Amino acid sequence: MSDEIESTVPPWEEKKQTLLRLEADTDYSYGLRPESREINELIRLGIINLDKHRGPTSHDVASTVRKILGVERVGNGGTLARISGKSCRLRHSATADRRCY
Amino acid sequence: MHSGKEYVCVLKVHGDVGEEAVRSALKLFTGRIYQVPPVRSAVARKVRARTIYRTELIENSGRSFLFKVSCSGGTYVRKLCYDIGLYLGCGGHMQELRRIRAGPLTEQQSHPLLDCYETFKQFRETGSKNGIREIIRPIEEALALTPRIHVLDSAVDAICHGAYLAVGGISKVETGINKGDFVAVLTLKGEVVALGVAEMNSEDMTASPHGIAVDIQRVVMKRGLYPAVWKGRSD
Repeated sequence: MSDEIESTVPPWEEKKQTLLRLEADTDYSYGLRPESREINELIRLGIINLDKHRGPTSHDVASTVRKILGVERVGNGGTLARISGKSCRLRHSATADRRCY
Repeated sequence: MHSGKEYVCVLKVHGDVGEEAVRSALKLFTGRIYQVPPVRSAVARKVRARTIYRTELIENSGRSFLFKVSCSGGTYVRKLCYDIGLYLGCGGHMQELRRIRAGPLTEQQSHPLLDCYETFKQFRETGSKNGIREIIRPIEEALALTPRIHVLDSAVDAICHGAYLAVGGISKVETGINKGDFVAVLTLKGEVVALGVAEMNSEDMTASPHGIAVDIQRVVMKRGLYPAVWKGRSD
């Protein structure tokens, strides 16, 4: 990551293109587009972009969200590399973003 | 860490420098910069190179300067303020900081804790799904800036069972992937299957006759959601 090409274009403005290897269809008798995911599944595989104000720590807020959702695996994100294989939720705040596994 | 960040920040300078001096200092600290992480930091205190994509002075009052900064992950804005202070000759420090973007997630699309509380309380008590989809977004949105590889339906379940992604399983690949990059493996419906590290670049992923394209690090999707073609059963 450290020897990336010098660029003053932030990553969210970079233009990306798609290369095709094999044109293929997907079968809708299994799987589901992410935006059609039902609520319980969404809670398992979802993120909350949370507006955290000054005061409570990221940890405090994660614990509150855990209670609100009644989900055990609420965690703190930060790096995408730490995303877990199970339920993930990520939220973002003034000082930290968080994700739940 | 891997994603770009944006902050609004209050810089307090320790001398009467003009707005122009601060403006030019901000300009100077744009592009490739080098910084040593602060004394109280979570990482090793070695010089690191980071990119400041953009800075913008928003407001100035006396010795306080409010500015916006877009930078790569792992940039210490506290250190940036301190270093700007050194450059100006009078010293300076960071007085306040708020993150307004982490990768694809922005402050504009964020929700206060109380809104989450109310929405989920409603959901639990009445079953009303109102507003839930605005607050909880599919995990894929967090991966919006992560290079993507879309795989064939027939490759999905093998990956869920721990297989590497071979080039034969690929349908589409985003440009710009290099060996060693962190990538997301998705279905053709856009669901995340797994996360991994690229073993070749985008061009090789589309053109190579054979080979391992991605070393899978984390499987996100449950097993059995897609058919287990790889087991060689024809049912």
